[in-house]
Amino acid sequence: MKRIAYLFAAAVMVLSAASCLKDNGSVDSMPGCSSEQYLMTIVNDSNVKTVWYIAEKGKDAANPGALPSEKPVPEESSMICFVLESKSSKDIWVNTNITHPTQSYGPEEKAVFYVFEADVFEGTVWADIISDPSKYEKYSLSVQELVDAGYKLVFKGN
Amino acid sequence: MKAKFIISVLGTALLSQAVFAGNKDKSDLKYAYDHTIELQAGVSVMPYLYSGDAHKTVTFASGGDIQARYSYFIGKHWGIFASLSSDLASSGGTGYFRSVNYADGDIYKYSPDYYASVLEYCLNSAIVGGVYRFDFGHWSLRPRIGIGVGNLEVSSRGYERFSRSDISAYPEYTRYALNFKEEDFLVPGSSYRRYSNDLAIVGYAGCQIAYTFKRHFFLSAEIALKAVCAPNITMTKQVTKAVSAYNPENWAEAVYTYNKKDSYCYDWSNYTETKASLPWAMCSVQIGIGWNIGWNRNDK
Repeated sequence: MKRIAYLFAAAVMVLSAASCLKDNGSVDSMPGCSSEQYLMTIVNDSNVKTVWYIAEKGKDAANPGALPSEKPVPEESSMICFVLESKSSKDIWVNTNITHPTQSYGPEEKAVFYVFEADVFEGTVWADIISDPSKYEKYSLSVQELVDAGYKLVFKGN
Repeated sequence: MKAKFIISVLGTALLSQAVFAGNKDKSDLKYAYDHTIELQAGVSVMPYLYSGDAHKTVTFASGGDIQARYSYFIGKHWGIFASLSSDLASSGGTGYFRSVNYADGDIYKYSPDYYASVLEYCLNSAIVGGVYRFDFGHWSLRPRIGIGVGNLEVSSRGYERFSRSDISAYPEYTRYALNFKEEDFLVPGSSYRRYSNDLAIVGYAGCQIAYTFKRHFFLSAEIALKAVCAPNITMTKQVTKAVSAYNPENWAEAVYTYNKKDSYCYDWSNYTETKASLPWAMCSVQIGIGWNIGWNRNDK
């Protein structure tokens, strides 16, 4: 009987300890956010040096608010520019704290990109270049088209 | 499960001892001490009402409890007692979601359904009452009744509910909160614990059987029922529908948040709130140890 008593007492102690155990749970940590966001990669697959312009919507003084696709080429000052050597590429990042040309388009609109071969700028002026559509390649891209293309815009040459 | 097994074995042993002891020793009030202190622990079940979209159903929270009690016997039979107890019970897992699914009309699935404790109740109570003692040999049967106050604590962890017929529909998120205040912020998936500011009234009735080994040491087993009345303590069920997490303002944002195109999030600025049921009763089976203190009236 004494053995049963000891077993009984031990069981009570174990149950007592178990009763005090609780799961305090935990609060999920919130992920941090970076102000730099990857946008896309522009690829110069041609054999020549190229100049890429990303056009900003509505910055053209002659036609404010118009989509660049509705006009030949916007003002040079309303675009940002990247120079890519032949067979090279560049990742475009957007600083969410600083206005980027592609932020001027709505989510359902098409952003416009112009690609020039670098030698068209030699011995001439901007107005003459844009007046000749054969001197540049124009791309209008929706978000879905860019995603389907693997976030890449590839220039293969004229 | 182990606790239930231990209780079954010890219960059988105690009952068989009672039969033999009753045959061998007919002396009444052999251990009629005037003071006893004891510690008991066991398993408890708390039923409560769950209100779903289609039905109401009774579901259960189960867990353990612990009790410390002091009794003073005024005479050979009658006594008074004061006890402090803590009852912990949780609801969750397959059984809980089976009840929820039935109450909601059997048209949803739930995630995650593996939480062992969607709801966890803790009732800390202080009870005073009366006890009557039947002594027969080493054995003593002690029915008790009492009343007291309790402090209720609820810990909740929310879950998502998905439509089975429309798999593209965004889910709903359900969570429970005790005495919720608007400034409280609950992160989905996190555990949320709150105490009641108001006390609940707790009624108690139990029947204890004790076996005294030596003059001062005894073992006990008890079946008890507690009724909880908490008119000032509010428990709410809050439900919000998920909204798309893909809401880009411009082309660039649409590109770099495209991986969230099919994702969703919860906007807790817009939710529906209904009153939820708290446990109104608690049944427990306990075993314990105790000590007789003072003098034995039969020794005088």
